[in-house]
Amino acid sequence: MFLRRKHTEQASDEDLITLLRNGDRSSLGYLWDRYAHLLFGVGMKYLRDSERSKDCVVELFADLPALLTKHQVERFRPWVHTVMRNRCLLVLRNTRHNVGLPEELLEDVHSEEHDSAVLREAELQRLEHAIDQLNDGQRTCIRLFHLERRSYEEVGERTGYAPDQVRSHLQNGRRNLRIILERHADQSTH
Amino acid sequence: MPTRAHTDHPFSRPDPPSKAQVQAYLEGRLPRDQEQAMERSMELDPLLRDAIEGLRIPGAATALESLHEQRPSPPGTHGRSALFLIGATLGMLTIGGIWLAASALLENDRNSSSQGTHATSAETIREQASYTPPLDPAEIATAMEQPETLRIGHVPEERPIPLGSTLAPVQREPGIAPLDPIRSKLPEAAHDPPRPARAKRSSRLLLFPHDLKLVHPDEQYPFDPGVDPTLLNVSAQYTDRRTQQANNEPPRTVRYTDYMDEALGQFSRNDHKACLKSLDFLLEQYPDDVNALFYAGLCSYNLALYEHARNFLHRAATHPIDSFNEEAVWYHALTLERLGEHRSAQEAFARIVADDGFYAERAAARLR
Repeated sequence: MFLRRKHTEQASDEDLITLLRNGDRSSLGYLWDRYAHLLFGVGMKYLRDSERSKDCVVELFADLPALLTKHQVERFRPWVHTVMRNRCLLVLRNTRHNVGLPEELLEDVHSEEHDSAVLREAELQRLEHAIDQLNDGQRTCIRLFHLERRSYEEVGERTGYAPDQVRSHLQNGRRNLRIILERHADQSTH
Repeated sequence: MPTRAHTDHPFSRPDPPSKAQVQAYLEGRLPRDQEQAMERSMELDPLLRDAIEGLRIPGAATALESLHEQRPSPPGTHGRSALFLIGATLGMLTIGGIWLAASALLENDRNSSSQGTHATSAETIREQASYTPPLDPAEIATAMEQPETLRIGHVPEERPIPLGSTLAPVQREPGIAPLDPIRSKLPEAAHDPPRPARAKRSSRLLLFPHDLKLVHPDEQYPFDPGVDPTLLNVSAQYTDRRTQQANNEPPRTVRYTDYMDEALGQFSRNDHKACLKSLDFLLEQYPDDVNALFYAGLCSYNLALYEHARNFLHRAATHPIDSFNEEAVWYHALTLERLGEHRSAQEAFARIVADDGFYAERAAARLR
């Protein structure tokens, strides 16, 4: 029993999903241990209410077995993030009938996943060349944070940017890097 | 664990952090390298970034603890007895862990005192991670003033006197006649209050408006900093700050020393909310201002906004301009105590004692 338990604890998310689909309810507990605190944090970000956030997490996990039978989930992490986020937005829409939601809440998490995937697959030389084409702020922040492995605080100290500005330069910088890399890839294929 | 990357590729995603690591990051307990790995994870993992952002909201950490009561247990197990067993095991592990940690701490203290080398309090705080939670004006407005006995930063005896500091007169508006000095008979030498002989010396230019220490702006900025107070409030004729700026004449700035003089006046009158609002506004324009960071920390403490106090005091204690270093380290330790982080507080007091500075005796008393 302990061997099986250890085995399940170390299983990947996707393996746990397969087990859950096959009726192994204990997998749900392991997914809870990995994700409940993160999803609760997501709930807090959008709803700013601890009780409603808790309810959302509990409801999501209660619905998870049924959801997984309905949907083909390739990667659990971004999928469950999107599900939680959509549920929070639904709660917000139901409570604020006539109020528009802030744009930042409606940003697509999948585009960021795509940016990261493209950057991870890029060769270092091409990446260096692309980084050089960014504007000053984005280039400096990307170099300090991703290449020199400095923390937000250290990047802020070196550049004089506030932490929010550092994060904004990093996010925009990665998006622009992806665009530059994809443009170059297109040019080389034509 | 976000302690290593799969490869050396700059955009490789570190392993997802554990719950304990997320909590350690939020509490500012991660060492630098792990802190950076956590932040890299956040940058490349939108779920983690959203989660951290949400968990920083006041009250989230407390609510998170009760969330785990809802953990789904597999059918066929005896939920309650299983929970009891887990609880009992965790309890025993925690007690054992505390005992081991306390033994290690004592051993470490013994070693460091016998070798005569130890990290200073500020260095140790520097190793801890920090974050900057946004200070919400509504949070300031609804904050509760601490009772007078619990306030910090108001008793002159609490402040180390900068023995080697260069004092400069406070620059005030012309037209204010200086007060005649009050001449009183000095007390006998034998009855002098104990001098803070171990207070750290500083050669920085300091000002003392309202009898409160202020690092001269020349020490912080290569130019004469000005603060635009018109940005603080929006006139009723404009819809927002941006419209007001667009329609207004060129900004009228107030000299830094005058602005701080007013803010510290609010502090000395125990108007911590107004003071914190003023300092928060200054920090928007000068985010690393050491004076604003230190006094914002004191105000936050006195308003029981301890998470903010910890952050501001941490930044003041590790600021390159070290004029508030000693006080900030002490108040940071008191903040940890108020936050219920007793172990961290005890460690901080132990380091203050080991530094043998102005607050060493008070820290020793706290340890007793």
